[in-house]
Amino acid sequence: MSNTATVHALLKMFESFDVEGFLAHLTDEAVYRFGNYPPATGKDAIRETIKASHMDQITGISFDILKTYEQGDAVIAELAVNYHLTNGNTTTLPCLDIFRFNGEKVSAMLVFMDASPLFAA
Amino acid sequence: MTNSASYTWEWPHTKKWPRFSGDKVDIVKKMFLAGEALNVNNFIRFYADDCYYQFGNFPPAHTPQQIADSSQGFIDSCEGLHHRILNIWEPEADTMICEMEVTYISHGGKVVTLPCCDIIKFEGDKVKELKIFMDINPLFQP
Repeated sequence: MSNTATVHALLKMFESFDVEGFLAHLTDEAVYRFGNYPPATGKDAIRETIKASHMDQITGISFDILKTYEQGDAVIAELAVNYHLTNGNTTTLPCLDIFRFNGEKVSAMLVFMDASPLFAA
Repeated sequence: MTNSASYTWEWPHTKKWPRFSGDKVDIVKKMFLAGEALNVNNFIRFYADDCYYQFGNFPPAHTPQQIADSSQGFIDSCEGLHHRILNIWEPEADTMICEMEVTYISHGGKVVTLPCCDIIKFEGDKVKELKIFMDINPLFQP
């Protein structure tokens, strides 16, 4: 599977809240960082971070993948993220993810976005 | 309008960020330096007349003048700015992706360093599209 195809698969796992499936594609020392939050390193810390992240505000999440770029060990995905809120509304926000690969595994996933409208909703 | 690629600057722009170089990279360096100087009139010289500029969740600007107008609040809120460039990818012709840590100094002296990633698309030597992905909110928090 190409690195870009892996990224598509990983984003699907986020949509279905398949955290363990996502973690299986990471290296042991992988780094996950969302916005301005401190990075999480290692699968245990990443599991905790992902499970904790804005689950109180949303009932679901889906991604419109606007464009992906691949060069060397990097895949960059430009997204529109649709957050389905507990009040029934949907908020769509721009987002960019950088994935770095070590072989077929992901060694870093960096999420660049401003998710603050979720907390204002 | 002066061609941005040939625009003469009094500071050694190519010596900053020495890890990164190239024709388009040098234009981006100059654009970042105009931003770091908080000089919006120099900054908007780099853009095509019909452009797309998106900063975080703010509504996009479509002309250099709209970029200037939409940047005023930001310029009013900080007195210093530095881009620490971590990676530049050029995955397609005329497309650059720039991963950074951006440091802001507020007028109150607060220093915040935030992760940021830009997608930059060129049309000739002009920037046709700049999308800035980051959460700038800490700059505006007391």
